[in-house]
Amino acid sequence: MVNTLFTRLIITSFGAGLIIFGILYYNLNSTINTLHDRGLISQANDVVKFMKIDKAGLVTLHFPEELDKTYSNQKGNFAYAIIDINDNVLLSSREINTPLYSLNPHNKPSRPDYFQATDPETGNKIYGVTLHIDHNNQHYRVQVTQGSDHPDVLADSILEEFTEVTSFIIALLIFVVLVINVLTVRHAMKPLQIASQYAADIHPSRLDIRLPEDQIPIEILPLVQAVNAALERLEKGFQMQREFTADAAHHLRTPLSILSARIDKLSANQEFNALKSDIRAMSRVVGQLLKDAQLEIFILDKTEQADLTAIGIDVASELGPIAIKQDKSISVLGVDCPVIINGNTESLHLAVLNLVENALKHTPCKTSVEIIVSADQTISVRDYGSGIVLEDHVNVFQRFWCDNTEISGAGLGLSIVAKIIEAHHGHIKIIDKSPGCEFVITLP
Amino acid sequence: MKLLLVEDNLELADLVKDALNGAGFIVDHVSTCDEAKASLMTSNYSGVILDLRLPDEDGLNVLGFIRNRSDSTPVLILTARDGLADRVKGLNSGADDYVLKPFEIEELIARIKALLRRPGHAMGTVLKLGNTTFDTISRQVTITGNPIALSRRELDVLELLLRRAQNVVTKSMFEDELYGSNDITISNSIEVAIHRLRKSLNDAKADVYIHTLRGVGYILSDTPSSDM
Repeated sequence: MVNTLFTRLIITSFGAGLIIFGILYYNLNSTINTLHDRGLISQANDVVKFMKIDKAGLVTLHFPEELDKTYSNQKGNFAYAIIDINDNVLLSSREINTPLYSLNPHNKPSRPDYFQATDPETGNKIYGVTLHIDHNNQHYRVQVTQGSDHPDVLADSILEEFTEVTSFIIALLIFVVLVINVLTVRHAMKPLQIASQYAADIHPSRLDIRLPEDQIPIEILPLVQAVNAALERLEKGFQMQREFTADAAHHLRTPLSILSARIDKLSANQEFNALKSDIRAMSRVVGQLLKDAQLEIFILDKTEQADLTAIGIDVASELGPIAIKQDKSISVLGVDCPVIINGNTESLHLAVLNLVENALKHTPCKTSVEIIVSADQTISVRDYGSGIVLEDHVNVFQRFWCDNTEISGAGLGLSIVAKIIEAHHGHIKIIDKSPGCEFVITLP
Repeated sequence: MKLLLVEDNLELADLVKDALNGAGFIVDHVSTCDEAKASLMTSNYSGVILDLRLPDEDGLNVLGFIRNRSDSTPVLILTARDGLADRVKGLNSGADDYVLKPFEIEELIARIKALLRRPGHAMGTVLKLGNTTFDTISRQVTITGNPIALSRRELDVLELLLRRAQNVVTKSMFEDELYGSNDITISNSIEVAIHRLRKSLNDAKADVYIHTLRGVGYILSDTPSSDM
């Protein structure tokens, strides 16, 4: 879910929103504080303005009526105190006899000192400022305070309201940008989805398919082009291998055909039979080597279907005449309905054909090679020969394996079978039957 | 019977031609697709033997040329190609048989004869194996010249077996050939017909035998049947 672009866009937009609101909140607070500070300074300056210090150092205050009212009113926590260097309160509102906020007496900064304190009577938070005044070598401090419901509240609420509106607009903006982004991404992804559908159709027999490059966004185009170039190389490789085996097949088989036809013109005698047998063996090896080479580039198409029962009957029909000539037979047993599996008919046909040819070599006269198809997607080939010793159950599938009996073969047939079954992700095993043995192919 | 041999390898073509002549066929030999098309335009052939790898075009084009004229002359493909899809491709494009090089001449001749024995083709009227002859026009079977009486069903079965002599006739082939699509197929009836036919052939001292391949079908062969 996190990997979808949509989720990523939401997360990024949400993050950006949080940062923007954070900055906004910080700015709002600092602006309110600045306003607040300015209010306190002007309040303190008012006190200083009406404050008089005579030559004897006596401090007097002559507030106009309004200010007097303000300071005598309990509401608003307004207070002032004029303090000398020794923290003695010289003048104050509402009989305050301690400084509103204690400062280090020796500290004589020129800048205003802002402070926060708690009103001892109400427990409310109060804000204040200390102004430092030097007059006739005397140091005085003027402290003023106000509560949290000070007159600047109006300004605060205007600011807050403004921020609220701004926040709403920003939230709306982020949402709109998110929607636009999602739509843009959707639109940009559409050609990619089309390309994916093309890619899904690519398999060994359809290597000519290329991903469409038009309408692909320029940012993603290099990937699509690289994939297409890779497909091009792959197709060439497959093509070369196919051409090679086709050429090799032609150049090996045509001379063999000529040789065979020439031998057929000779009159039959012992030499003639020997030559014919040689040419058969040689043709067989050539055929198997070419098959082996073809299988190197065989990859099963996941959508291809094959019917094991039909394969069994086809192989039996193909080899039946040979079996009859040898006074042997071939039977197809097991289920007589189709057994459909994911597989390539031609290659599975070849695998079963090789097993049956092999079985025909080993089964004695007047016996039958049995092809057994079962519904659990297995096809087995059983003969009534002398069987295979256990140690050789693995070896028989090796290339050029030979059992040292008089029965000749190139030793490629069973390795081809193993290769085909492997390409089908299937499994082959040998079961001892005495007499004979059974090769069991299980397909997924 | 005249055959057209399309093969670019002259040595092989000469040898095949000689062998076919020996088997009683008249053979015209050409080396390219163009020549093959030209010959097909001017002469009538009972069958065509076609190599696929030709100097000018793919041999399958000749096959296409024949089939596009709605010409059902049997075509036997003779090729070195045996890729996993090649055989299917050849047969799907309308070839009647597919023989892989290297081949044995006898095998090639047997396969051509089998094609010509099909209904409507050059050798399709009188079928023969061993001492058994089947005239498909008069529907008369003779064993060493002596006519024998067979039921309609036995005649149908024997005809099919003779047309594919020495080759397997599967149960589904019997069903396709002997029963109309509306008939209720009783697989027993084939077995019964085979059983009766076997007895009739045996009684008439025929030297052809019906072999049973269990679960597959039957082969009519001149190899004696042994009991298994």
